[in-house]
Amino acid sequence: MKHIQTVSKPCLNQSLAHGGCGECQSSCQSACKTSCTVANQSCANKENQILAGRDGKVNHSFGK
Amino acid sequence: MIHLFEALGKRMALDVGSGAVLSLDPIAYDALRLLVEDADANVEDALSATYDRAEVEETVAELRQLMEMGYLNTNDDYSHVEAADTGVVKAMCLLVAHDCNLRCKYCFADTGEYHMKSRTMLSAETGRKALDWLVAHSGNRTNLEVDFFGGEPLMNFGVIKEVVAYGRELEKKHGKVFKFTTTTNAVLLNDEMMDFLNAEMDNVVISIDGRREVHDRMRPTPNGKGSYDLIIDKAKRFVEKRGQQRYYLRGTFTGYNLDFGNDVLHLADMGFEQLSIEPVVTDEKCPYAIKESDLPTVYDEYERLGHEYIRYRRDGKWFNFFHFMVDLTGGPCLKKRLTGCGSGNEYVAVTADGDIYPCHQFVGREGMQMGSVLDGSFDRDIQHAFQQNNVLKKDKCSQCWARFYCSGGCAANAHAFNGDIGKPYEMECRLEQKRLECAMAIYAIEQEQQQAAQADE
Ligand code: SF4
Ligand code: SF4
Repeated sequence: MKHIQTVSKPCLNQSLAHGGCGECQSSCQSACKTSCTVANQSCANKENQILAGRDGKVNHSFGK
Repeated sequence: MIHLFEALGKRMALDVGSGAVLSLDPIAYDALRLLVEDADANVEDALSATYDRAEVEETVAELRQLMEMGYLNTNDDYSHVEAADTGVVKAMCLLVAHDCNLRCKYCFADTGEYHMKSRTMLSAETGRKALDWLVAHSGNRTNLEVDFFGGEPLMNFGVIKEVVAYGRELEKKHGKVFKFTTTTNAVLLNDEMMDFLNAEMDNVVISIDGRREVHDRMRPTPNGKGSYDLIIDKAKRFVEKRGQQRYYLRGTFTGYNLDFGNDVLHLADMGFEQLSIEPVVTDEKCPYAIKESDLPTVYDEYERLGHEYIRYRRDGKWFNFFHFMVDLTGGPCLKKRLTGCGSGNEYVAVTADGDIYPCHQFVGREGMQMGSVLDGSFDRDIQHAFQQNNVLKKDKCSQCWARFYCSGGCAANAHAFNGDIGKPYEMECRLEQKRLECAMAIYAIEQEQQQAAQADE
């Protein structure tokens, strides 16, 4: 497309089929202890990580 | 729902229902804005005065195609999704020391006392009971988190060691894995402690606010001196010993340093790679509060930091800023996104006296005690109330574009400012939304850089 670039594809719906195992980290523990953001967390389930294509996560690994 | 925004010079759209993120040129941005306001708008007519008509038509065709592909304007009603009410607790904040060796002015824990007017230390026995309690309430969850917190936990280092050793015994007996973490101001950190923490802790959070003068102003010792020089070299050594992994430097910015980007960059310049600097949460009347009138300045500072962040990372000075991290390719599952921090439900705090609270910030608040690990009591009604308080059940959040990223904000702040865990604190929302916009723009810009670099190869 000329006028629009896809930064990331739809992903929310897919996780419904695989999600909810509950083994992931509780969000407040990870860094801040005063606020909560979950979107930057990773899924603890390896299978889901592959399904969700986590290898491409630019923001975590770029330039490193 | 579609959220259109501009951040770091990028025009972007988030499709809330699908999680798709798009980067738009000016025509597409203006066209989509018209379509968001009115799906039947005659975009061609409306924009042909500003742009070439053929270009506008081409753009609208692209937008329509994205809608058909399920990238835009998708169904965002997930109200049928229920996060299971299992009653399981999997994470605990253990207050090992209700005392501190610093007198930070913004401390929510009242330098360890938690408004309970006593400076007590956790005993190894109560610590062991807390772990027993956690195992007993963890159902079939394997991974259990325990964060040693205070006050200053290293003031009670011996007990931390005993509790960890006990946890390792329990792992074998019950088939669990304890992920221990510690949050410390690093004042007492010595080589023995460093080695222990590096061997046993999954994550370590060290509190540093940034530049010396900024840090010292808010984080003095009991005799009123600054603490920056006491900790900075220790923190550096510790992080190097740890191989730059699984830690965060965690600072607070206040109304005194609205140029907090310089504090982040100061720490990056010192060679730290995992950084989190967060806004102070306090009464507007407080002299160091971040006021509503400060918000434009804070937004600008996040933008400026965003640009610097990209530059640093591109030029070989990689670091990670917690609030600019967003995983758009997958990230946590939807159920996790609905439940957020899990306070009071999957996550509790336990005081040195063995009392259970929904999280560390609720400790000492009236009516919030949930039970005790000493007698095993646990108020399932409070737990259920927290479990029910998911992002889609909150009026404000259910209408908010950020809901699947923010997950409903901090229940403790909602309770403190609005007297209701279901009513998020507005200042927090506005900052969260701005950071998310920046994070998505950064993601898009770095992705472009990466694609350009690949194309060059
Ligand atoms: S930003 Fe505020 S309204 Fe939006 S989801 Fe978060 S807490 Fe709820
Ligand atoms: S309620 Fe707030 S402080 Fe408590 S765990 Fe959740 S996000 Fe953290």
